[in-house]
Amino acid sequence: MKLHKFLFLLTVILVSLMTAVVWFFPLNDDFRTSNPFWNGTKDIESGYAFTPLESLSDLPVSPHDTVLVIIPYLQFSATDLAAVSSFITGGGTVIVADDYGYGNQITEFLGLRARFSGQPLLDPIVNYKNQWFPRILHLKPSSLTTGIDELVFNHATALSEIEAGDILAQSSIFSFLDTDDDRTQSADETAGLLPVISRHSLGKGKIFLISDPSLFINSMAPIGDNDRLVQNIAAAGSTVLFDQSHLPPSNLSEAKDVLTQLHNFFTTPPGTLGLVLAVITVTLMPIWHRRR
Amino acid sequence: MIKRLSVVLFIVVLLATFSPVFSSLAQLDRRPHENPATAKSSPGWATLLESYGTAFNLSVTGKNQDAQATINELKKFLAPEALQYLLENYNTLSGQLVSANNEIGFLLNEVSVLLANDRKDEAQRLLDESMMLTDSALFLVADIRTESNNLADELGIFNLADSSPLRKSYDYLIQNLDYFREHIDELARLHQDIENLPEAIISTSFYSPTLIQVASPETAYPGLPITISGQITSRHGNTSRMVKVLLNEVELIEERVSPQFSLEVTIPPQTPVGTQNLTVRVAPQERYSGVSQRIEVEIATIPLQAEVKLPRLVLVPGPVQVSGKIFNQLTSGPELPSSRYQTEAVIKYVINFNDNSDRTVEILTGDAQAAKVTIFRRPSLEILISQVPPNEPTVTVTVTPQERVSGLQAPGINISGITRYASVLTPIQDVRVEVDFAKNSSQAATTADGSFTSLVKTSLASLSLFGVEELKITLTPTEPWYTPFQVTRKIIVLHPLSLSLMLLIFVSFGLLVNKRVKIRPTERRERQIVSPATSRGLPAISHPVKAKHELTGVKGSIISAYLRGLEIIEKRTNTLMTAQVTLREFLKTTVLRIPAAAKPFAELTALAEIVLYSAHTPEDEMTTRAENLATEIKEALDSEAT
Repeated sequence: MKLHKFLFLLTVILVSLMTAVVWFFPLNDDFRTSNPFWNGTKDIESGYAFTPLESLSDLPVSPHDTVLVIIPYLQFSATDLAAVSSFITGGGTVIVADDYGYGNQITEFLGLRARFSGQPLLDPIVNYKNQWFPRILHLKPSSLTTGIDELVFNHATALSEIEAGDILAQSSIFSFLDTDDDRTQSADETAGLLPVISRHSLGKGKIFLISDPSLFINSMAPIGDNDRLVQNIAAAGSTVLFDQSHLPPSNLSEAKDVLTQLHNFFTTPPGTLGLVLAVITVTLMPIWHRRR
Repeated sequence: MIKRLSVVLFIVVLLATFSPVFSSLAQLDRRPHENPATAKSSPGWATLLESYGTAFNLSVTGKNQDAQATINELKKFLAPEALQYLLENYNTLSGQLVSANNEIGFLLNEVSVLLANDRKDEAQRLLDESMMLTDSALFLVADIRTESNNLADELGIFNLADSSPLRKSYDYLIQNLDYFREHIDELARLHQDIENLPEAIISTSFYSPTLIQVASPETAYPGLPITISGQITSRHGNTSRMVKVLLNEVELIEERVSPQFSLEVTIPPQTPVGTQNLTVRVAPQERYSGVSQRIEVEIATIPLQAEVKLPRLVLVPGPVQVSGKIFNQLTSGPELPSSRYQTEAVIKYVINFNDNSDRTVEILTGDAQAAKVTIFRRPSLEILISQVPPNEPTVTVTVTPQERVSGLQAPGINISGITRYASVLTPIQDVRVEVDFAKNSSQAATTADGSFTSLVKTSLASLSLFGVEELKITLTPTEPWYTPFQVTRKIIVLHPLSLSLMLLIFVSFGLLVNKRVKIRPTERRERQIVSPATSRGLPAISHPVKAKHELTGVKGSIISAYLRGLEIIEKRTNTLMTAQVTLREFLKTTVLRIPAAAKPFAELTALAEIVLYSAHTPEDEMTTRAENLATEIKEALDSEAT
């Protein structure tokens, strides 16, 4: 076999192999709805019909009866912030679940005083396994907390600048914000009942702030009443959109996106027609050459 | 050119495949989460012990409610299984101690008030009660001290250095327990000096406990009322109290009630199905403490039934008509509000046959035909007859071509092979019906008789050639006590566009095959006539024309001599020297057949090899020798011949 034929064959095999691997290997990115592993959110997508949203520009024009869940791990553009703002004021419900991301960009843009503290919330007493998993037992009645006795957070933070009437859930009196990262409570560190879930009304809609997005991952849903919180969110609207556009994409997810776009194109009438024509052309090419 | 392009393409693919693309996105500073399944368990013992110490300190300083709240929060600590019993006991003793301290303070407060009103007998009775509580508090402190030591043993605290955080926490706890002991001792001393009860204790606010016992139905339905009854018991009086009823902490009603009460509350329509917490909370009032009781209530909804009709085959694009009826089968259940719907009798017949033959089944109610169904190769049939008058007339079931069963008299008829299920159904109005089919949907609502009709338009978006598509009907009742549900059915779909595309592919391949056949038509072989075999004589040897060598001088002369000798030998042995035979091989082949000339031919061959293959330059004498050898060969063979 000649070298160029061998290389061509090898290239085709490699490309086919990598395409198959990329297509079939499950995504393992944090919070991705297509990730079935412990850090993914496939369970909520399949269990509660959360619809993944790849761009905030795809938000519905009439947001009434629609819930948008955002995990802001990437910075927001001005267009994105404006889209979120108009979604809320138009009657939609937004849930911002953040710990160390860019949630404060949203609250600031919306003119709320509330902020995500961005410091680790530790609870050495009321916890699940260790102090990084604070159990949240102080819950105020609301549509979001219905039927919940206990939430378990995972490497969470707390909210600050929240008015008493807006607080829906608080950590225990033993919890504290570990601002100096020494894993023990110092005298100058904020401690006690710290708000972790809050509700704010804006225009016709409302926004809920949750200081830990890990509540949504597959491994945390069965712990405590976390799955009930997700169920309550799902019940808050006829459509629940789960924003994926502010999660850091991995190489695998980008490659999958490309393949998905190709797949989507080929399943459209023009795409399929083009594919069929291409196959026919390649098949008939030897005859064309022979005639010449 | 193609070769170069192939190499470049290969390198590009390899780079794209294996070289990592480093992300330039901003990364988070902290870890967003860890796997809870593999997270290491690490209880915060030091903080736990310190917090108990703080709780005792709060109680000693009169902040009994804060102390009790802290102990209640400490009860939420998830202890390892081996220490659970110890900690539960510790929590119970701590709670009792704080409660006893609170009660002692309350009683002393009461005593001081009674003494101020000169009611010494009543004051003495309360004082005795308080003294008993003081004694029990002392025992409690001692018990807690013992349990603290047991806990320290289990945790290995006594082996730790004084400077370790856990040891420091334990020391803090013991120190506060000692303070508590001193505080109880002080209260005991006060009992001896009743006339001088200090103002500090009197001014401390304490509460008298209240008890409550509540009963409610085990199951409730969203939007429908339930009745909650209960009994409130207070230690020093039976006054009316403010009671609040909450479902999952959402307030349902607040009302002032007598000690024995009964309240009707409506479950909020949006309440999710499942076990929910119903809390009855009695507010604190004057000197009586508040109390609450939580009971579990199962929230359920009433399931509905649907009868759906739809086509089995759909041609895309084309409309799909879905119709049906939604109703509630009344069995045991909650008392529903006076219905705007009329119930009607619906009878279901299940007919089983012994074989799979084709049949027609006809059902007559009185003289009117209620149903007529033809079945093909099915062993059983279900027929639902609705809107049957309350006084059901005689029912005749005719099965052709074979059976005829007549005179079935409702209700409760069971004949071999035919089962009748009669029930009273309520059609449900205003149920939102959403039909989804092949990425298209339509909406409708049920009418007064519970029926609906919906038309779904299909588009060319789907590219399935043909196959089974799922049709989903989502039914959402207006009344919250009914269960929303979904009905799914499979429909066979034919898609003309996809079929055309497939046809195009088939035609193309057909053309291709046809072309190939035309280009290479099957050629008929001509009949070959095989001539009969004839004997052939031995081939005559024709000596090839020897190529002239290009050697000159001494070398040329030697080779010429060799060729001369060679020619003689070839002729004599009738053997030709072919191109693939070396000089030496030819010598070996012929030497036995020319014994007389063997020696000179061997020497001549050696000389020729030297000329041809050796770098050695032959001398002039070698030429003479070679010519002599060639002559010797000729002479030897000639003499041999003669």
